[in-house]
Amino acid sequence: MPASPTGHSPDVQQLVADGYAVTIDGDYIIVDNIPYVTQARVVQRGAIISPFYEKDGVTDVKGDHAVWFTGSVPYNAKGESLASAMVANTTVAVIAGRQVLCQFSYKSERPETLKDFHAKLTHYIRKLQSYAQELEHGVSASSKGNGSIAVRQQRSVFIYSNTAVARSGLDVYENKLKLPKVAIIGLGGTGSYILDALAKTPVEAIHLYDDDIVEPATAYRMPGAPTYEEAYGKLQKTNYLKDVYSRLRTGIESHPVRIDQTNVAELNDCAFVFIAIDDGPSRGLISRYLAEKSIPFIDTGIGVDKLSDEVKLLGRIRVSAVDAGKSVLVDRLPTADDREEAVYNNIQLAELNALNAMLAVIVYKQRLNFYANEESFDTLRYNISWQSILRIGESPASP
Amino acid sequence: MKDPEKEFQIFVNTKPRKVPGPTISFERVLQEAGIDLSGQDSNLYDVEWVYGNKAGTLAPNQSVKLENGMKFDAGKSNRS
Repeated sequence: MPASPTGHSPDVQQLVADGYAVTIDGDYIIVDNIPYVTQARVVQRGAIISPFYEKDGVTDVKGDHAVWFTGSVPYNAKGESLASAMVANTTVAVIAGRQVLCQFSYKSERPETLKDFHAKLTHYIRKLQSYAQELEHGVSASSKGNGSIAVRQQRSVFIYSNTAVARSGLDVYENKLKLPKVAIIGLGGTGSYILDALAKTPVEAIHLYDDDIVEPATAYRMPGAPTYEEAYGKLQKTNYLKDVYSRLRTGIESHPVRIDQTNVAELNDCAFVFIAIDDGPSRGLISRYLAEKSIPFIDTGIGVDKLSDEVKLLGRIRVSAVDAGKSVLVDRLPTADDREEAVYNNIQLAELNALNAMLAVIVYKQRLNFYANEESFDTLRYNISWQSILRIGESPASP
Repeated sequence: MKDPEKEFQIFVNTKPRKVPGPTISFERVLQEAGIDLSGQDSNLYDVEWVYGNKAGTLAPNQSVKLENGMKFDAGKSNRS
């Protein structure tokens, strides 16, 4: 591939000009073809991979001196291991789609080695290469005039990348959260907090359904701090929240409507659905539909009662996870019409909404095998007065 | 001799209550909580209990064996 450094930052251009084979793969920069000495005192080649951060043509090493290496633990020409000198760990991992065998962390006394990516990467390359050259004269990672750059833009939903993920090599974990489409039905207190957490995961599309508008009372339940104008602006909740979270990511779709029999089929291609609504019959319609279509979902709910004589509140939270094919659980959801004026209508309890939402998102991430999960359950019940979370299995504990 | 009608001291929504043994039903817990089920669908309500390290839930028509000091919570969890 001919060198085409146009548009890249000066440090990346310098690597190409030096004759290195450079790849920018999303949040990583990779230099291939680096000679090093193996334990058997043979020269082999490996790639160095570093987290990469660039915005508007300006790169930033962010003070991070560590890199990954696809080769084995390097040795010097005498056959002495460089493990203690430069290897931080030998945990095999997949970074930027490649198997790495070790991570280097060779902190130089000279701060200029972290000036930019040219300095950071050549610092490691020269070290590995110098030992290889003792065994094979002239062996080199670079070939002047034959430098190359390949850019594989990973389409990201985020407006600015979360560099911490690349730096810690956690993208194999994050990738489990890359669902194509998730819907949140109901954007009240709980639904808007679900959005807050979900928006920060790499799910491709988040569809919001609610026909209600933002009012001062609802503004007190949402994450963040809506302005006076927003609180009184009669904005559709889904439009308002789409605008706010589109500062962070793409893929948020606003549907300022209520889900009913006529439009429930819009959920057909959802990989997962969160239900955060008050209305029992709507909960019944949506949950029965999703169960029938084998679309996994989580239904959320809080409850608050007054202990009038003590002027205290009793509070509880429920998270019900209905996996695909578990339609029997739908019958246990509160799907009846509740005409009672709830205490909750007149009191704002953002912490209960937030905890309900976060428990729901944690369970969602467990269902995606992001978090470990050693217990089987379909429902969690948190009780404030007891400060307990009860896990309820498929068959409720019989008395 | 065990008296099957022995009263048990329990708590329902934090309030102390004396109820006859040896078991208590979902419906009786709601009654002790002052919840009137007439004209309402019982699936709107959850009943949960704790006793020491043990805990569980009651669904409509289910009962649990009583212990002195057992705590019950009865109410809804259907708001967003």
